[in-house]
Amino acid sequence: MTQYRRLPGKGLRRGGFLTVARTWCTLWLASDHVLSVDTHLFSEDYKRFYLRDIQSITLAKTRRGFVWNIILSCFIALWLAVMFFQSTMEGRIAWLVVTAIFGILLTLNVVRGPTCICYIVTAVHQEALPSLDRIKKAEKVLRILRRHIENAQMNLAQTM
Amino acid sequence: MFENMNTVIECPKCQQPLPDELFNRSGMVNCPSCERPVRVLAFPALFAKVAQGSAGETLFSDDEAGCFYHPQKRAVVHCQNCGRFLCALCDIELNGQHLCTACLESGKKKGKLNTLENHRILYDSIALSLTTYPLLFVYLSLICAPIALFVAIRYWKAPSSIVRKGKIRFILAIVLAILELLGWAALFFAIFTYIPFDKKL
Repeated sequence: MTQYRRLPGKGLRRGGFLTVARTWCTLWLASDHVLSVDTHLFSEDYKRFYLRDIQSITLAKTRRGFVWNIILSCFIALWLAVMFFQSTMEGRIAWLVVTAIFGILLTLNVVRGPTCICYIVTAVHQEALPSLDRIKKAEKVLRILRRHIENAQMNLAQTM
Repeated sequence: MFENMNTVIECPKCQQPLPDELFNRSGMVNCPSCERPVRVLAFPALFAKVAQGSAGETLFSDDEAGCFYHPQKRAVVHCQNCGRFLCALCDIELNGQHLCTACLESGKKKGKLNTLENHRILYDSIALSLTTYPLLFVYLSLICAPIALFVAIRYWKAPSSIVRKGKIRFILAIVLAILELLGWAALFFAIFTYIPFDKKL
């Protein structure tokens, strides 16, 4: 039985604007391959990327995190304005709670850092890795993967 | 610029080819086409020469073994599952094992070759969900708990997730289903034993 080690990161595979069933993606490392697991409600799909076959991993920064920061900030400003127009203390407290929830979401988004998209490239295909959707997380995983891939392809490097 | 590479590496955002000067830099660099910060980790497999597949050698004398599928081709290896002689064209190497196409196909169908498995149904998650979600609508648990119990027992030996080992979900599902059924049994017992018949109506 193959032993797998979980790599950091968990992300949603974006199938379209409206997706009813969510697909969570995670990455797992075995001795000779990386396993991408797409978890649906009651099933899992697997894709194996053998370390000796991985040609490249590409990463590009996106604006998704920045856009979410703007949206959440706008909501916070709106809820604060609504709160100040409340005449009763109870109303103000209720809106403060709503503002605090959005504040927590904004803080989480800022702490998680800038967003990115990541692809793994082999000779026959290029596959998105939705679990690596933040640069911080992706860099961490790339450090682990780089070491393993270079070890697996050591003989290729020597023959070049 | 791209002549040494087996595959053209594209920018994940604009899908334009990235020049090899951008590869393996310590930080992010801007894509020349879309100006987005990108990072490319290139590995030796990108530049290594791709080995040509062999078509199998033709037999010239009768004292040489021929391939089971192509009798005119020289056998180079035997299938480690069925023992049939195979030529270089028919030989499929998988995890250090040499297999023929028929064994590969049957192994995949029967689930014997784990490395070819790309889909699994999580019966343990189904059983656990049947015991937890109906708790939101209490009455549904009367129907779902026996179904969960059936699923857990029927699929106890079915392979679970490749990455999450163990039977903990099945065990939790069985325990919860039994507790729910005991709860319902106690409720019915109480209704039919302690509440007087005229009050039931």
